[in-house]
Amino acid sequence: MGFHSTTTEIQTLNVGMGEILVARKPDLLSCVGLGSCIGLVLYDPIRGWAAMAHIMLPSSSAKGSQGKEKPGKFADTAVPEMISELETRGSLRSFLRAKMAGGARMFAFSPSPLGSIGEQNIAATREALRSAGIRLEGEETGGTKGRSVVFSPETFLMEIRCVGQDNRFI
Amino acid sequence: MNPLQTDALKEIANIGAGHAATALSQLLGKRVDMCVPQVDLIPLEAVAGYFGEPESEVWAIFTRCESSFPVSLVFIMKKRDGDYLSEKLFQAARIPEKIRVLDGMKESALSESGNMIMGAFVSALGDLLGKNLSLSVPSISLDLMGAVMDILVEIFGSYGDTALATETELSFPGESRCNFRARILLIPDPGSLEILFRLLGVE
Repeated sequence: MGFHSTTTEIQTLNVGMGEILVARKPDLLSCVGLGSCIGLVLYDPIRGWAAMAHIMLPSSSAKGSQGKEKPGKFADTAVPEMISELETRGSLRSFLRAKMAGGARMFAFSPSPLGSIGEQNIAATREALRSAGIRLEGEETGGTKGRSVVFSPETFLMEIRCVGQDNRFI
Repeated sequence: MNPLQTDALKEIANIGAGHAATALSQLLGKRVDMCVPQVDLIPLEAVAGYFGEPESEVWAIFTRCESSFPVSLVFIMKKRDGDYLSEKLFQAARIPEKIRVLDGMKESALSESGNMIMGAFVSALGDLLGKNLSLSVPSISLDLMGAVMDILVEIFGSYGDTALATETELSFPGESRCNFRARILLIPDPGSLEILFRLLGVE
């Protein structure tokens, strides 16, 4: 008897390394502790779905079939998989937008002539977006500090938190 | 790795960490205990939370030993333990308060501590192998544990799906009003282990 009120609980879905998760409002998507890794979001402003990937490495080519098992791990497999997830939910590819953060060089250490893994991840993610025709709306990448990010599929804003700095939005 | 090799790796970590613990002990003016080193094979996707909460803030001091078997060393402490260590160094070096609070002083103090602690580690390693080993200038970061652990992806990412590290924990013995805990990770480059084992005669 009496009024029955429901509060919609807001869930923050944490995307682990190599994972892809999909959400819509009121839920939020987050990546914690992005060092060289990239937190990439593809979102559909019209239908309200968003996919977030916690990308670890630039390319699946050296790994054989791992790209199929864990597409979120590599920049080149994450983007097509995220598009596929959103298209399944009714999104039209042309309307998808992207935001990305991460790709830092945590320590002054250069193991490869190709640059740090962070730099390679940034380049590979940009290239994957470019070749899929997805527009990059916002980006905060590089530097030497780790980042944690939270994305809202409602406001399309990505909040970035760094140790010792004020939170900011892209 | 076969059991003989795993044991050899633990022994290297043991010897190195033992000397590191002594150096740390001298810096802190207190006895420092170490636990038995673990050899960890860590799936790359799990590195973020393997040694602690990915969200936790830690001081991490990173250094490289370039030699015929390149290795990386990372010294990790929770924020408050790193702050404590830098304070101890300030005291030992008699650095006045007004200088201690300048920007970057903690980083410099910890960098210096890292040099001493990991220098001792690598020096012991060198003695063991009859090699003259030296460290790169330490790189220091106060950051999220998850971001720091990405270094394992950097080192092992192109080679496979697992990272390998030895981990030794250093702490104050028994009940202590000010408890201190630090970790030393010894991370061999892919390919360094074969060379190391050959040098030790445990192929």
